[in-house]
Amino acid sequence: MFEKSLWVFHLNSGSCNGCDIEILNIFAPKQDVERFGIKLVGSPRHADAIAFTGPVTRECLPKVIEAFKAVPEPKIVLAIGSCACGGGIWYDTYAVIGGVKELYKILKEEYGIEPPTTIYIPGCPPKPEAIIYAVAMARGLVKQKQKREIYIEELDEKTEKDIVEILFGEAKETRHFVPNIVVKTDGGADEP
Amino acid sequence: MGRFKLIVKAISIGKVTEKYPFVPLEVPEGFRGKPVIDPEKCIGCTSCSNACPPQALQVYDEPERGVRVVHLFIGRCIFCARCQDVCPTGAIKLTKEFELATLSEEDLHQFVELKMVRCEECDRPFDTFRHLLYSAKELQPWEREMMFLCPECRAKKVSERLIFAKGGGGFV
Repeated sequence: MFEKSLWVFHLNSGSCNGCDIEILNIFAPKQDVERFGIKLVGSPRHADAIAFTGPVTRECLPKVIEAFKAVPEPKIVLAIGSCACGGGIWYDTYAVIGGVKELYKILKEEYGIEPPTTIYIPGCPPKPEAIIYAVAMARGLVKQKQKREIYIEELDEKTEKDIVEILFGEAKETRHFVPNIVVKTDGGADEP
Repeated sequence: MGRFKLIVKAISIGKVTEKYPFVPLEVPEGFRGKPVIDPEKCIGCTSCSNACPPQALQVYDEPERGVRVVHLFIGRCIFCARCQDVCPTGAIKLTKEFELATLSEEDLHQFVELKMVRCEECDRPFDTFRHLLYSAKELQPWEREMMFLCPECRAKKVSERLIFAKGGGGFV
């Protein structure tokens, strides 16, 4: 996607600081992400990418939208952490918008801004290496591993009947326990 | 520390940077990574969705299709491993996989669809076959008589029996 160096603006939208510390970690000597040409910048106008953390609180929303507008196109968003990906543990509270997906809806409906390319990095917080993996994916060095999985149980009518017989057959043999029942339909209430 | 001493120390320590994306990384023992449902073992008992704090694991019924869906959305998971603790069959486990970055949100979902049993009286799907088989082990054979009734029909039948049984009540 981006062949040249990415300049990243770190945008905190009400995060708990867990993900922010992981972002600082990847610029430290051990997981040195600057070898990919990445640099943190102070202004969104200088940035190519947004390192987005937090579930977008209502208080933050106007500032987040302003910062989004200020980043020039083409841009890329790194949604870091479970909060940014899908709202995290606060996904349905009143004070929170609920991740980048809801933010994109607001941006499209009210400002007509198309959602930019987004890399979702789940984790609470994600390992520094997981962020490096996403960055390497943006540079085209590695391929995506995670895939959507759907499993549908297949049961024939025959196996269904077999299961019923296994469960019910034994019960029928010992049915002597249950008394024979005659249901009275006409006025049982009057009898003592 | 003088400048010369600093250079000597830096050279003696050497390189500390990991060569991570080009060399695979080993995670420590007990690392909690991506949760994976083993679809062959899952019985659809909903204990995981009750335990999940952010409701990343949701279990819901689709009565039209007659299936129960176990839906895992990793984008909301906080990797607390409570689902792994409560699962009665050990179907859900946290692997050591951490490279979960995706370009689309749809890749973060996992679905397991299990067939449901229909009630004998009202024809409403109420439980999965696997869950019935699992719970049947705990029951005595004569107690299995009402297994294929939904909870409402079962309550109705039990109360009918109490009222109209031979030698029983006889009055309402």
